Amino acid sequence: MGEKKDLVREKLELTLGRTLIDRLEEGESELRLGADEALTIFLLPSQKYKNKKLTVWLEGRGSRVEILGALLGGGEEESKISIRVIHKGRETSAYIHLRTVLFGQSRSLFSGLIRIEKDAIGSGSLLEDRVLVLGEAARAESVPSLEIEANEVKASHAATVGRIDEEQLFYLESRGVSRATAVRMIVEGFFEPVLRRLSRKDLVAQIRGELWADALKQYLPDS
Amino acid sequence: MRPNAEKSILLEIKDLYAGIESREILKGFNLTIREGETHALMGPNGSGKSTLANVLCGHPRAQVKSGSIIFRGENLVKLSPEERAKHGLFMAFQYPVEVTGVSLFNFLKTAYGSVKEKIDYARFGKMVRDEAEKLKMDPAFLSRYLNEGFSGGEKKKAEILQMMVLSPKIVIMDETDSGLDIDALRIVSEEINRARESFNPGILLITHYFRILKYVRPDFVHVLVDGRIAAEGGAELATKLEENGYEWVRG
Amino acid sequence: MNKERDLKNLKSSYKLGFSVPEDYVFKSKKGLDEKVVEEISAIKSEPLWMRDLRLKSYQTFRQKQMPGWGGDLSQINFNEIYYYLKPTKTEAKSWEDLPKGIRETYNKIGVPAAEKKYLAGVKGQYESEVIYGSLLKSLEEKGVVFLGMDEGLKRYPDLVKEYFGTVIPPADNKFAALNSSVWSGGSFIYVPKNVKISLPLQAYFRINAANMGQFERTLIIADEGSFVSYIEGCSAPVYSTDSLHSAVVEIIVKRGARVRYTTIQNWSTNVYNLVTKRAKVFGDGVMEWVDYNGGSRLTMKYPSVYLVEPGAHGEILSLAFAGSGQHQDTGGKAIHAAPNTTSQIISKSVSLNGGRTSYRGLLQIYPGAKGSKSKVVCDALILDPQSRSDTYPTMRIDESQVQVEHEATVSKIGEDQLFYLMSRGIPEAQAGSLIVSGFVEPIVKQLPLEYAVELNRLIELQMEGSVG
Repeated sequence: MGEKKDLVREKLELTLGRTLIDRLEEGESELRLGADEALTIFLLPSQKYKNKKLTVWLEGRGSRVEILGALLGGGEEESKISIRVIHKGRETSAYIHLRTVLFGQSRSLFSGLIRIEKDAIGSGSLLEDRVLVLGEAARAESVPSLEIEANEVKASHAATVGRIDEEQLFYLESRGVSRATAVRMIVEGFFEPVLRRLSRKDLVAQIRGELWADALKQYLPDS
Repeated sequence: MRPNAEKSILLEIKDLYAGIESREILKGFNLTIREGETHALMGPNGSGKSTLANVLCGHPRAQVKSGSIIFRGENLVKLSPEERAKHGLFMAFQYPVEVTGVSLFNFLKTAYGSVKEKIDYARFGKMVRDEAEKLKMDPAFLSRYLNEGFSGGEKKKAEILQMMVLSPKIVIMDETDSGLDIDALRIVSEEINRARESFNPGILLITHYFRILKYVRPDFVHVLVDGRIAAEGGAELATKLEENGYEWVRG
Repeated sequence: MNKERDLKNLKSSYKLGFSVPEDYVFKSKKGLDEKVVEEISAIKSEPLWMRDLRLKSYQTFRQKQMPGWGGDLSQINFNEIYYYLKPTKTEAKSWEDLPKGIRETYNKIGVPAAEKKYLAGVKGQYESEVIYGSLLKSLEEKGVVFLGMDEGLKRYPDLVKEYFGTVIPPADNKFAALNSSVWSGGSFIYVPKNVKISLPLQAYFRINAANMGQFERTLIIADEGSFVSYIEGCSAPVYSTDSLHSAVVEIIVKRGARVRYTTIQNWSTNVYNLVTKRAKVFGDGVMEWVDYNGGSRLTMKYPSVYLVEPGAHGEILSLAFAGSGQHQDTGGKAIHAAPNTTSQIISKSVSLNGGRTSYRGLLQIYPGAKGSKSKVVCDALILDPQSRSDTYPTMRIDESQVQVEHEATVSKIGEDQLFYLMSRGIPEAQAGSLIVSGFVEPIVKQLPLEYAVELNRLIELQMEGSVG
């Protein structure tokens, strides 16, 4: 059991979010972290998965999970992501930060649950869900929930949905940047806060390549 | 031949009626700026200084009712903000917007590449760092997200840095002096003077206070009151205004 | 010290937890069926359409399921509740006309003093009937209507028919259906165009008899450009068997009007408080809900604003306290169904001694509601390891040109803050109390002064039980 867990974790750290999710049980993944174990999961857009459920149990004392996402939706795609983090052990921590850009008529449904159980004293959890809407008919639904049963803890979440600030576009254009390039710069900039968190810089370059090369090109052809 | 005739006209504004959305603020505004000239535009609050700045840089909310604005032979009103920049217009904003995730350096690089059409990356990096040093800006700002968390003074310096790097044909400074402390004002003014020497732009210095005019000596001073030029003159007009206030101009 | 004496007084009269011997003209049998519904309508001599509405609603109530979320409603036995009591024959027009027992009760609550100082008129609800109301002359002259719901139906049947059930249809949820079938009492308010009432209108409620349900129905219509502020503060005595309070409040805010509805809820801890409150806001109208929930065994209440025309604005300020054995499941809903509408929800909750607070909210932006903006902030304090706090916010954004923000935090009292106060000589219990007061202050300061004072005392009381 321990060996299998190590293999899974290895895969998680080495591979990028997209491949990672696909290799685990289709649609639903569960991970349990033991004492002092730490894990970073990076979610990338994928044509394959449209309905993902991820549950992380922070069982061991001091275990930590970081779930970062740079997601895109376009055309008429609909993606459903459900992330649950359950703090069972003491001094466990979770940092969930998802950023999604929606083009065309895509839909994103996000449901996040952070539960801190009675014995998870000294734990902390943070959930951030930010959606940038570029498509005229794009839709976002977000339900970030908290269930807190211990008081020596800190938990918070924040979510925003909005469009590109016209003032920002105008500022970039006033410096000679074309609208298409300005939009692309802002979209790339939008993802920076999650990319910055990745300690594996080699992965960052790889992710950027995948994000920009494949996905963004598809939705921002003029840039 | 008079010296003036040799200098080409950069910007010619004739009989401009314009405003913000539906409100008309400029009522018959006229101004001509030639290459290398520094014009100071002063006036009380609400006189139309910001409106003029917004009209010149093509802000979406600015509306031109009638009149003409010719910029280096082109009808400015017909150009998009990006085209204006490519044509050589630069606006130093009063309240520069923050753009998260886009570093100042990368932003400059993109703008430079767009306006100048080719870029020598090695030289570019050095040029930017040199300019930042002259402005006494911490080089760390170059990798920080554009204007995010910058103080008012740091934002203004960042605008000047962009101006120096892009070396435009005409510079419009929208109340650059507001919010600067004495040291910052002096540094920024030094850079503006250096710009005059190095790439000889036309400058429209929109200012509320007189301080900056002590450091950046204008060739012409115009006073805007209620949407029109109420007085024009040389640098000494600024001194008169400082002594007598705007009421003197209203007459 | 005055403060100590005050606290003792408050404690001994436990938040008005006393009762007056029953003195009723009519009491329906236990449980609910069609005959009870017909009886209620007959006694009130209602028009046929209302009777039919009640009967249809009763059918809907039978068909609808209990909600599958929220608090634990399994202990409610609908068959053990009396659905109607009528204490006196007619509505008293002055203080002296009230039956003595009831006057005593109101004296204890302090109605006359309050009326003299702050209020424009009072509708006292004793059991299921509004028996006391007095409307100051000036309001009548301006054309303002402030009546019990029963009398409102009698005197303004067309107006009531036009709006009753339009904001909350009986089929909305099981408890709205229940209320629509057995409603009794509540307030009916109509404010004519451009009339602004500067003093708040107020009503008191009491549950007295054992197994008594409260089903008041309130309808407020603020015509264009008007302003009205309404306060509802209620209390109930302590009983061993459960009480059910299922009210419905419908508010119509017409163009440019503004309505503020404030609730101070501190039912005793055997009461189930399941309320549906909703306002429909038209162009440039403003609706403000200020909702304090500190009593009851379980409260499920989500004041809502439906922003149906451009420029409409809605605000929900919610403050919840849950102590031992209590569950406050509260929050708010903002529905943006028109362009350039704005909303704000601020929720603060405190749970202690094993209490549980849950914030439940919905922010929905429909397609076409361009330029809408909304901000939701929910903060929760959990004061001890036995207590619990949840946050269940839902955001459904079906329009691209919007700006939406949501933040929530859950924590305990900051140790740094406690330490700082203690280092200045303040004992720990009091320091905790001060910090909690500071935490809730942004909402408390929205209440009229006398309530703010009483509320701060209630908070101190609650805190006394927990700290130290």
